Amino acid sequence: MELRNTFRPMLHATLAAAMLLTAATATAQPRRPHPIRHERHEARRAPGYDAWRTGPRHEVSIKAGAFPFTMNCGHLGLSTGAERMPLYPGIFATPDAIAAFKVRYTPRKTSGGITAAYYYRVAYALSVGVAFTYTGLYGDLLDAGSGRKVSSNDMTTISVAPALRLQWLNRPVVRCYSALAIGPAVDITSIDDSRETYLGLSGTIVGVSVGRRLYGFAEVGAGMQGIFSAGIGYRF
Amino acid sequence: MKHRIISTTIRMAAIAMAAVAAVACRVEDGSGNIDSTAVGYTLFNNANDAVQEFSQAIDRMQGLDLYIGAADDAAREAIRNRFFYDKRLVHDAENEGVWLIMSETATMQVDTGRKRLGDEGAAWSYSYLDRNYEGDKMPTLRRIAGGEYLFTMPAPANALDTYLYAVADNLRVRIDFEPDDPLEGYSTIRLEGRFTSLCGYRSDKLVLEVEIRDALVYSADVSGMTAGTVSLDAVSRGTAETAAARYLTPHTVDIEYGGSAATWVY
Repeated sequence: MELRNTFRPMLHATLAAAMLLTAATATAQPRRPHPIRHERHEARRAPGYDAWRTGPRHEVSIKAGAFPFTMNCGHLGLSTGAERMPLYPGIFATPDAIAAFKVRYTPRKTSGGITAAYYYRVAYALSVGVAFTYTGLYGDLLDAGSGRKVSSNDMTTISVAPALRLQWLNRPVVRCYSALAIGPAVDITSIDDSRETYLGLSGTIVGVSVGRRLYGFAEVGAGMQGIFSAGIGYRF
Repeated sequence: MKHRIISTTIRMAAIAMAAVAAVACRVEDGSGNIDSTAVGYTLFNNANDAVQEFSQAIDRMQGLDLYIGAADDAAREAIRNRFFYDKRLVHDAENEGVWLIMSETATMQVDTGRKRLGDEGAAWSYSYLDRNYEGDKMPTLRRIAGGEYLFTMPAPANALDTYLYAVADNLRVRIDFEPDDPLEGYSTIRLEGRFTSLCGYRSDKLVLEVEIRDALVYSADVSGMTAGTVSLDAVSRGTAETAAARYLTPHTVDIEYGGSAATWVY
C-alpha cells in the first residue's frame, strides 16, 4: 500500500510530461532543412599515390631462374630422360643408328635462366620494359669405345622480350607484381650447329620485391625465365 | 630498424639468387654405356628380317602346294583351315595356275606355272599386290636337281624410297615336310648361300652382305629360326662393320662384334 502510494505520483507526473511533450511537438513549427553541401568527393588513394611521378621510375635488375623453358629441351632441369639410343628388339641398322651407337652423351649441366631486365614505370601500377634472357646447357659427346671427346653437346638459348609488369601492391618498401614477356628466342645447338627460332613466352605469376632503390626480389612463374627466380635490382 | 630489414632482405635475395643458380645447375642424365655388341645386334636384325620374310613366303607356297594337291574338297578345306585359317584362297579363273592368298592386310599372288612345287622344272613366283619389283621380276622359287630349290629375290622397283629390303640371287633352299601328312606335318626350310640387305632413307643406306656359314633352319612349327650361323659385313657411310650371329633357339641369338660376344633376345 505504501509502495503504491509512493510510485503513483511519479507515474502521474511522467504521463503529464509525456502529454505536454507531445502537444509541444504537434504544435511546433517545422525545422528548416540543412542546406545542401556540395562537396568534392576525392577518390580514396593510397598515401603518397602521386609520389611515383617524382620518384625513381627506371629500374634495372638481374636474376637467376631455375627450370627455364627452351623449345628443344622443355623446362631444363625437369627432364629425367637420358639421351640414349632406344634399344628395342626391332631396331634396324641404318647409318644414323650405327652412328648413334658409336657415341655416348655425358650428363649435361644447365646455367638456369639468367635474365637482365630494364623497366620504366609509366603509371602507378604499370611498368614496361625489356628482358634479355640467357640459358645454357653444357655437355660433351664421347666416343663410345675410347671415351675420347668427339664434340661438345651444348645448347644456348637467347631471348629478347618486351615486357609488361603490373604492380598490384605498391608500398614504399614492398611491392607485389605480375609480369608477361613475349619475344623472339633462338636455340643454338653445337652438335650440328643448328639454330631454331621461335616466339618465347615468360610469365611471372607473382613477384615480391623488398627495398627502395636497391632491392631484392623473388618470383614464381613459368616460361623462358624459369619457374622460380630470385635477383637484385636498382631503381633510379 | 626499417633500414636493417631492407638490407637483410636484399642480402637474402642475393643468397636466394645464388641458391636458385645452384639448383639450376642440375646435372641432366647422360647416356649410359651401350652394350658393346649393340651394333652387331642391329646388323643381325636387318639380316633376320630378310630370312624370316624368305622363309615365311616359302612356307606359304608349301602350304598352297598341299592345298592344290588335296584329294578332295574336305581335305582341301582342312588344309585351308590349318595353313590359311585367316585367309581366302582364290584361283584366278582367267590365268591358269595363278592363285591369290588374301588376308585383311595383304594379298599375295602366286604364279605356279601350272606345276606342283615338287615337279621337275617348277618355278613358282609370287608378289604382293602393293609391291613392284625391278625390271618386272618377281621373287621366285625354282626347283633344281636333288630335290632342292633356288630362291631369288629382286630389288624393289622404288628401291630409293624403300626403307628396308633384301636382294637374293639363287639362295639354296631345301624344304622338308614331316611327318608327311598335310594335317600333321610342318615345314622345315634350310637356307644356304648369301644375300644383301639394304636399310636407310633415300640414298643414305647401310649395305649389309650376309653370308650363311651354317645352314639357316626355319621351323614352321615354332614360326622361327632354330639354327644357323651368318657372317655380317656392312658398309655405312664409307665405314665397314663386321659381326657374326648364331641362332640358338627361336628368339635368341649369339652376337659377336668388336671382340665382344653377347646373347640377345629378339
